[in-house]
Amino acid sequence: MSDSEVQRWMSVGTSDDPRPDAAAEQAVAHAIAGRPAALVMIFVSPSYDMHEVASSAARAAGDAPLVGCSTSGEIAEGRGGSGRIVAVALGGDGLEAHTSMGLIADGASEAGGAAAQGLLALTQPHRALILLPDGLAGEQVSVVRGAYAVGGAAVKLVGGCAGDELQMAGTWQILGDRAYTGAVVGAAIGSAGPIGIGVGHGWQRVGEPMVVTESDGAQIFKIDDQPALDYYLKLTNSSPEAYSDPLAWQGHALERPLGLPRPGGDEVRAVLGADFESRSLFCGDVPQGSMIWVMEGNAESVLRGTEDAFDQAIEGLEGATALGYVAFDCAARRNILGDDGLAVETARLAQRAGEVPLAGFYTYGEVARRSGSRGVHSATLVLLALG
Amino acid sequence: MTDFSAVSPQRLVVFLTELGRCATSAELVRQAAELVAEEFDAEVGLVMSSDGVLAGVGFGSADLPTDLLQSIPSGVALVSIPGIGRCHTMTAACAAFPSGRIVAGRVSARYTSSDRDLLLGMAGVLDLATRSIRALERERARHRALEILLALQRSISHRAPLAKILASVTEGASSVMRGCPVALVLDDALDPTRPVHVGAAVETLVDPVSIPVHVQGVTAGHLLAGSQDGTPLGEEDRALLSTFAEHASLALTDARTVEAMKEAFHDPLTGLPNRPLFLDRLKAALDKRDPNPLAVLFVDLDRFKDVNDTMGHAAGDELLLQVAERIRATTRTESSAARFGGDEFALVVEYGSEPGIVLQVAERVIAAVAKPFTVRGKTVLIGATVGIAFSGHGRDASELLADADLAMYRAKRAGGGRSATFESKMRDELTSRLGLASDLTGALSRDELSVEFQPIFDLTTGRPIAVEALLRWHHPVRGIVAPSELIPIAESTGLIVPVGRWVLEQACHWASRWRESLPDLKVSVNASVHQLREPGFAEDVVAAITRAGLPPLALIMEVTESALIADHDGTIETLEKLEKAGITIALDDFGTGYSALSYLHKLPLDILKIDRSFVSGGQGEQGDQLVRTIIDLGKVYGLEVVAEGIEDEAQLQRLIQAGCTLGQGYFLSRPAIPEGLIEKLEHLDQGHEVLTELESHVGQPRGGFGSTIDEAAWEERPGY
Repeated sequence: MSDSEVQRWMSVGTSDDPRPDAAAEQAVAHAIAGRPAALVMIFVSPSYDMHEVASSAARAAGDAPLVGCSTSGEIAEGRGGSGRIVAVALGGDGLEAHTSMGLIADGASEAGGAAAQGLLALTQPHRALILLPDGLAGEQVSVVRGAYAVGGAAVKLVGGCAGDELQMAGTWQILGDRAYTGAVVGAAIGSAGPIGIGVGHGWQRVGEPMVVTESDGAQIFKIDDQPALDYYLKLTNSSPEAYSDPLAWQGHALERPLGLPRPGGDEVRAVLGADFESRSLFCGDVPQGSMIWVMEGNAESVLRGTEDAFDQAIEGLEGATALGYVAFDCAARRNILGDDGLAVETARLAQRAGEVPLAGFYTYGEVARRSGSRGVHSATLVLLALG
Repeated sequence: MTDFSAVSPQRLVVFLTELGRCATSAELVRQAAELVAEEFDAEVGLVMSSDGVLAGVGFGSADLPTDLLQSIPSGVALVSIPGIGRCHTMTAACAAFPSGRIVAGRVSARYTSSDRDLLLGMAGVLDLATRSIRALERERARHRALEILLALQRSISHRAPLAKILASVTEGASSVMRGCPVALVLDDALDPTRPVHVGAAVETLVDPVSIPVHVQGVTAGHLLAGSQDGTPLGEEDRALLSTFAEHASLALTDARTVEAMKEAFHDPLTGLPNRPLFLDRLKAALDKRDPNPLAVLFVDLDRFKDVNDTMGHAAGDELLLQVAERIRATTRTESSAARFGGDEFALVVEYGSEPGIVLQVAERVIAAVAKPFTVRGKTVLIGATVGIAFSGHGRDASELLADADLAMYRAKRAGGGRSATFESKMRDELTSRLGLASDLTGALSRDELSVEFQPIFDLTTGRPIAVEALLRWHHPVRGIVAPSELIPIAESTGLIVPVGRWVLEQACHWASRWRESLPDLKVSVNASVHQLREPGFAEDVVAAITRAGLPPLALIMEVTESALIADHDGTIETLEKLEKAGITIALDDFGTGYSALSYLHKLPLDILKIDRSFVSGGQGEQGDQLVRTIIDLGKVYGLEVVAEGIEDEAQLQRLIQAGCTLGQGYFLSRPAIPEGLIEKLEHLDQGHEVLTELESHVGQPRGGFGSTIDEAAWEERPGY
């Protein structure tokens, strides 16, 4: 490296100022710290007005491309919780980024492809695409297929679905100075240094396998030919309240996702909602005919997932030192950990990150493709390590 | 790691289910390549044939290394793929394509024997899915070609505007030829240097095939088609193109004059763009690189036909000119309005970020047309009904227009004078209705139709005095189709005429048999407005009763008020003929909205049937009052009154107290199949001896009905 080259860097800024424009400005300015940035990402508590946040953050980011989304909790500075804006900025020589977006209404696969267009302009050897899709629009598999069709096997996929603190009312995606819903925003990153991706969940199968006998890809209607909701609750020994009370139900289901056997390990699908009328489960990307297991975890196994993700991400750096980490952690994991467990997990994240910054958010579904062509996860921690 | 030998059958089911969602074979192979890669956690998924790679994932936007991929050995192997690395590959032959095979390529690990079994299974499933989707595509294409040619022939024979026919030729040919671009180039007699051009841009056609088009035997231009994907067009396509070229020749020869070609794009009356030009402009607006969101408004005038019929066509044209002027004034630019002929207009509204504007325009159009017009010194009141369809969801110009038309139809059915916005469920309803309509065509010959009879009683004696014939359709898949669905379909397709004739035959046949033991029994048959309009309908009815040996007074024809409104004069003429022949006429569904009391004395009526909505009591005191009014009216005009849809004892008592003496309904007797009905009717007929009590209840009908109601009076006076 010559003297005139600026080292690659990643840094984080946060704010909990209640004024959206001030909070966005503070978080972004702190992350950039006056340097020219290649990319700014913001993870925003849904308590803020997203339009004001977007326009203020874009102003503060200056020439740097900006992407972001609403969250189900933010992670930064060794702390996980709600109510903040977290900004992550990247820059330095040998780091480049291009952003774009697509609307899911135009077709999920097309939206994924549109969000991946930035990849076409990259010149650096190591490449990754960060996807931030609407977490309530479903069809994540198609979004990832669309992005894979543009990027191919040479590009790593990573990201998380925008959340809204489990309100399930609407999520936001930010590109430049605009906030959207029903969108997929993408940031294509090219780097002279290696990029590592880690995936870990810590869930384990319990009980017997079952077959999804009726599903439309977004909603499971029948399991083993029984109404899905009741069958699932019976198998997981739920309290009687969960059969009819949405709150009791949500508490129960978030801790008991479903697992699909896949080569390379089980893929987890969080059970995000239920239709008490049709006795069905909202659990995306579980095709009809799939064999599934109920998965269980506890605070301890969730933390084991955290370790797995770190090990894999660091392995991906091929011996290089990490500049920083971006975490996409499932809202269901946050739920299981509770307040105490959350403190333990974020401390563990901070400890593993060591001196370098780590920031991210709690998601409604995660994206990670290290090998193969699949990339949709749920109830999982996904880590992006920049080398 | 899962032992996949145990889950293979499930994985194949998932694969088949996912493939089953594909609508075209192109989509199918793409999806198959994606699923193969995903199933084996592979970077690369391929579907290949001897023609090359049909679909491949894993290469992103880079060009596929086709030669390398074609050289992947069968079975399992290790192949270096640029940009991906050393891949374990695995192939399985797929019989759906010449030398077809599916391939998975992954970096991470070798394949197990159960992986290979699963891939073989997937190849088999893909073969199956490809065969069925191809069969479906062939069937669709054949069906579509036939439909398009039929529509073309229809528009030629109906002398549709020439520009529209020529556009249909190019669009139809293109659509039948898998979207290949098609252009029609015609020599313009006025300016030989500038040929008239329809369809795709000629210079963009790749490897074009050209077929001459003739006008009166002389070559007048060419119909050209280009390749869609680089594959040269084959003999089959050439034959299809020739068929379309012949249709173009036919239409041109028919149109002949250069004038017709010049004026082909404007409505000669109002000067507004016509349908082809409107569609062309709409298409251009939609095809813009960054199209503004827009909506299409389909406007249909209410009651225009009445003006045309009563004041003449010249007055109708004058009115249309004024309507066009008002519609033009409600839109921001003149170019966005069009007239489609008849009383149909259309508008395009580009609304930027304010969709609310669209509804405002629709309201303005409705309000503008609702204001009185002065035509030839007379005040004329008409209305407008508007259907709205918003752009988006990949709808093209014609689809958008069809959507707006459908929404207009819905608004019209809701009473007109209002607007309705298109929703996709309207299309589903239409599809279902069209399906039923096509099924109904053969229903008679397949013995799916039947007639049931519901007795009509003298409420004071409990005696059955007539039976109403009711059409039933037992659809082989959908089961019984409700009359509320069946009748509109039969009417809209014109099938009501043969079906109605058949019902009449059946009714006469059975009534004639039953009258052997119940000589006073009458039979009531519904006639639709379409039947009443049929020339010779009255004669047909008389012939039917004669054939069955039924006296005219034994037959009651039921007509609805709406039928009378829809075609007043022709209908009255038919009804008068029927009455002259001695047939009784009943006005069905009386009181349902179109009621104009003036009809009662103008029409040759004998019976009023009170609509079930008043009988049910659901309309409260007002409904009861109406029932009493109708009964009083009946007395004034000397008409019998029958209450329909009596469902319980309370309703019956209320009707009797109101002075109603005749009724039918589930509470009294459900409709029944004709076989065995006579025994039931004979049994019910036991109340005969109390008939004389009726006198004091029914009062004194006009016109010599007689001071006593006895058998003779029933015979002499048409009625129940």
